[in-house]
Amino acid sequence: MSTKKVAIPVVLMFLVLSIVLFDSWNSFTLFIGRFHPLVIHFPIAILSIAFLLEVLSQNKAYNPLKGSLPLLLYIGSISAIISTVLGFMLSSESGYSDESIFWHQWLGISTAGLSILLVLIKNMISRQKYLFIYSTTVICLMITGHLGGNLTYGDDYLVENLPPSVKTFFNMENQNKYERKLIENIPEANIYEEIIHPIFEENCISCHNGKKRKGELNMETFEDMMKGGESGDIIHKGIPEKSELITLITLPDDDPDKMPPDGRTPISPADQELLMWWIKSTNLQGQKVSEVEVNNQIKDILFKLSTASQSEWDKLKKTDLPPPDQHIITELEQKGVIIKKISLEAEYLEVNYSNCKETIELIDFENLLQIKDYVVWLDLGNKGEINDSFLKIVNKFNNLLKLHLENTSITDQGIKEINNLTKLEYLNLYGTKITDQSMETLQQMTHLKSLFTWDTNIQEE
Amino acid sequence: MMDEHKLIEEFFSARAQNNTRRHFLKSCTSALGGVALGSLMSCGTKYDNLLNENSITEGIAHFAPKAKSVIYLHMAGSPSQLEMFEYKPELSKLHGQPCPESLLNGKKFAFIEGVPEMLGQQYKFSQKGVSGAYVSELLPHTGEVVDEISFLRAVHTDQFNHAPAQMLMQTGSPRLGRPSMGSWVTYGLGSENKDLPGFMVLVSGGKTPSAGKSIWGSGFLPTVYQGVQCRSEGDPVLYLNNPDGFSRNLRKKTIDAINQINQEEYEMAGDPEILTRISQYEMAYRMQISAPEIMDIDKEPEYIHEMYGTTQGKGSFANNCLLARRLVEKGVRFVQLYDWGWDSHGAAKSEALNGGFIEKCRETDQPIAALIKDLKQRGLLEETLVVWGGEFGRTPMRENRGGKTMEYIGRDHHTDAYTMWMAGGGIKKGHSFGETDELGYHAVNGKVHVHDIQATILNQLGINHEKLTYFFQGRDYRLTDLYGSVIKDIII
Repeated sequence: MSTKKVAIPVVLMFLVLSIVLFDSWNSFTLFIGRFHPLVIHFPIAILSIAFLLEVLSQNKAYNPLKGSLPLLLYIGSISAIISTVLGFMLSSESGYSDESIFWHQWLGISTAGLSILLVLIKNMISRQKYLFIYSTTVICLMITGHLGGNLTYGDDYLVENLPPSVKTFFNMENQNKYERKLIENIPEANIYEEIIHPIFEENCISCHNGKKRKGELNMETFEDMMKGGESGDIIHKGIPEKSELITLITLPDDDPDKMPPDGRTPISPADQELLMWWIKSTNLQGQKVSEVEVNNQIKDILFKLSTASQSEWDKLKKTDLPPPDQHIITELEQKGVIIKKISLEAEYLEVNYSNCKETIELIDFENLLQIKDYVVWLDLGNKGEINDSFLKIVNKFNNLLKLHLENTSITDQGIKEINNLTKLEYLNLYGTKITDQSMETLQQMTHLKSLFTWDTNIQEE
Repeated sequence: MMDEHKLIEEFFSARAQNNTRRHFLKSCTSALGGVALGSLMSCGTKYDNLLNENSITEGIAHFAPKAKSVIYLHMAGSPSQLEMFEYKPELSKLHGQPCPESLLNGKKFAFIEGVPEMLGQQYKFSQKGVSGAYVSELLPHTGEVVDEISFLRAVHTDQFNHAPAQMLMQTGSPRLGRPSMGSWVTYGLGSENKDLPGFMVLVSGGKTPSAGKSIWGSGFLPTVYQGVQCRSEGDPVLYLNNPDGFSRNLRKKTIDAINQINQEEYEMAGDPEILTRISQYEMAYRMQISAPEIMDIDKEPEYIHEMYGTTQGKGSFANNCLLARRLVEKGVRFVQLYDWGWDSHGAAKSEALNGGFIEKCRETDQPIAALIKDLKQRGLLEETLVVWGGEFGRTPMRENRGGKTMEYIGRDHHTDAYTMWMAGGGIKKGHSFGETDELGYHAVNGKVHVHDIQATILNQLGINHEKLTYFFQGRDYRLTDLYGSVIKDIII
């Protein structure tokens, strides 16, 4: 066939040129190599459709298709060969580690090889064997293609945006964004391990890791990171301004070299400060926070990373409860009490009796105990009938963060009763008859941030 | 040939006979049925916009709020920041000199013409409190509470006329038709008290602000969310009381009858405004009892009256401040105080920096400081966000209306940079964000826009300003429209 006479020399010439001109860092190689993602569409489409038609043509209705099959297969295999060669050139480009390329490369070569085999021995073997080898070729093609996609877009590209309900079904939720853990003890924390490395995990390691090394940089471990990338070291000890790491993350947003690239969230100013502070420390790896100098700014940033900065509300949110019994809530609401969820984030409630016109009976108040774990804010203020006996019940609401008791009839006795409210942050006692005697109980409420009285102290931190 | 013609004619007329209006209507039944089904399933209306009796306390915040209520003190006319909170010695050095070209180029002023003179600061400044904020000698009381306040010194707006600027500040758009901040907040969160409206407005200074009552109107939201204006003298709420001889019992029966008819009307027509009307009648009935008691400031002890400087029996800004505290104590979500008379152009003694302005400062300084102190001692400042500001600022140049030197001293409208402050409700204490240049003309850093302030107010109430929306005329609207970001620097 005349096409074969033309095609074979062309391909051979291409192969020869490639080998002759091939040199890992030759700019021509890099240039031509980039056409791999372009050309690869041809063998994928052609070989797939050729196989499909090959199978379909067995049906009498599609018999006329038989004529095109050899040509399709032929073109498909030529394009597969060219793609393979281009792929080989592309692999010399930085950013791909050997292990991740291994399977893609060899399966790609197999696909091309099998397709050549098919062309050559088509008429020599049985139809069954032919179809068998053909399907193997296509399977190799599919896997090669999938691995190629993973190389470019990452392993979880296809499943990342699955609807959440499906993800839950398959227990895939852990694939969420990396969440930095809060640190328990700031002074004893190892700076690199607990503060700096998490910044890299959150922002950098998705592209700079063992499997995918953009810019030849692997930031997964300290040693690998210090080896640097294709433009050299990223850390200049002691001088943040000269460190590539810092320069790249502080570029203006529209600079193409900015890290993280592609419109991803830039490194926050607080994290930038932490990175610069770390580079200035004497030992980049082994030091604890207590061993390095901290200025006020760094102190504030570090505080926000500690578990101490977590408010009680944040902690409560993490242990959310199932929705409470609506029946009880409706019953109470009919008495004029206002019960609302504090926010959409959790089922915890605020309960407000202060604007309720009717007198509250102790019995009605006891009903609230049925949902006691839900009550986080309780307002009994400006209700004269509230007295010490109510406080006995209030003591059982151990998730209480805010308590309004202003202008009620409570006394020191009542305050002694609420010694179990360990999480209380806000307590309003103005206009009540309490005296210094209550201070002892109040001082034991270690979380109390705001205390309001018109008898004794004004505020206690 | 004739036969063929006839055949064709016959064909067409036969077809036409089977294509009458009757046939058309018959084929349309499925479509008409579809339309009816749609309206039964309320296509085209958004159910979550529909008001129902209980929605007054139904709204849930997006995240845990820091503030439960807002007291917004709007100084209509726009106070001169250069005579209150911004210390600019450089400006005073340039007093009397002609204004540099660079500040006038390309700018449109409300009244300034030609080349005005620079106007030095008219009053002395000193640093107050631990935070060291500069406060002028006209505001001694405010100077005592600066440690509770976060100043925003580089606020800017795009409107230089009163009405559009007030509307931008209060409704998010300089044009009529949008709901005001208080309406959005009540729509989003409801009220903590069934007997009072969630949004109440008090006006002082003699006149309603230039933009009129639409700055506390409900715009396209159901009218139940509009601000209810009340007064600190005379009848607290206009048109609330029964006429002579009309007993409360009779009123109740009247309202019940009216509402029964309204309810039937609603079941027929489905207009949400009917529900608004029903709930407003009921609310008005409840307010007949609750309002006089809450609005009666005479009941407050003497030392409270002294602290605020109230004038018993007459309306005043001080009375309004005291009333605002009472309203917030009772669970009113959004209380707005409008004080008129700050437009210190200098065109007349009443609006001159060396005339009426002194009086305005004296009238408001003590009550505002008292309000903050009073809220704080009652433990309410933490839960109440207090906001103070005008609709724009005033120029560092002296106003020269008609190009001539005026008899009194004043400043013209200035949109590029002015000062507002916030206190309480999760705002940092004794803090300042934003700076202007040494003349107080341009914002140098920390620039915030009116929409940012609105976003921050909503944020402190636990609302994500981008998520509180209402579907109207084909798209979702929100208070901050398409703009605004929370001013993270001043929140704790």
